[in-house]
Amino acid sequence: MDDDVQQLLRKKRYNEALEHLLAQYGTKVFRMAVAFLKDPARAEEITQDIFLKLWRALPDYDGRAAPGTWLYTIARNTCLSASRSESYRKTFPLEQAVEPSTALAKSDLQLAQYLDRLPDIQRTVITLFYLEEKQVGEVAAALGMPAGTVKSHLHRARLALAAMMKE
Amino acid sequence: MNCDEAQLALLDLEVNSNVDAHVSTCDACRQFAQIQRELDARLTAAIPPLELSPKFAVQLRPHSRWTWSESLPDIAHLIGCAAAMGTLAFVFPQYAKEVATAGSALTAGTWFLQAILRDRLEPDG
Repeated sequence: MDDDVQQLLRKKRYNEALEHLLAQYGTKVFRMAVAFLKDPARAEEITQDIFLKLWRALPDYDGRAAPGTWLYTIARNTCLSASRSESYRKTFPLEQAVEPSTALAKSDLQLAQYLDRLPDIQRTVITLFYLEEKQVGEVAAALGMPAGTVKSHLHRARLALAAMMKE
Repeated sequence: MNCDEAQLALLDLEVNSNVDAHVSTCDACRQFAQIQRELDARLTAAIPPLELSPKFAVQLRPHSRWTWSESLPDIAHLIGCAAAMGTLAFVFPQYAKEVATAGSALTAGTWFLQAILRDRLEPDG
């Protein structure tokens, strides 16, 4: 699939290349954005931004990295910067911080609070792991880290969550 | 299989007969397995695999398509400048060279100003 996209890019058929990338990576990028931003509606807006950035950058693609890897790098940087600006905007006094921000786990409020207490990287990894239907390889590719590192973050997150459940 | 190996396999959500055999004989690992399975079930229920909404691609496509109308301001600018230079050169043929030089410089300068202005006015994203 990535080879098809590379061929399209070499022929400067950018619209078709974007369609291929959107079909293959749209949902994956969206899930990554959800894991970083915790809010599916905001994540969809950021996914739009990511694909627009990609669209503008397609003519500059130099073929050094696979298109998917390149897209994930753009996606991670955009998510990180959006997540930083969201947390800056959401700064409020501690006494007002009663509701957990992990919108995904609202069906299980207690679990949402536990997830919020995890370090950012562990929360992102474990959220993405479940969003990606428990596929370590997908999480590793999306976050640009080795599968072993993903597993290690998952282990730590599970142990921490289990300890919170026992409290 | 010892406790460390069994617990590592449980953290990896591995299901195999060796782990089951160890867990059935070890109270600590049975408790560990129970908590991990409960946690996995809660996480699975709380974080379902999400999909993009159907309107996503529809909203994205119009933004990502290049259309000639996007270049309309540039085209209009060039035609306007060329027409002004042509008119001036026709009215003052003795200054045609100066008109061409000054007109080209002015065209380039206003093109850059227009590009900067458009960049500033363009909404983010």
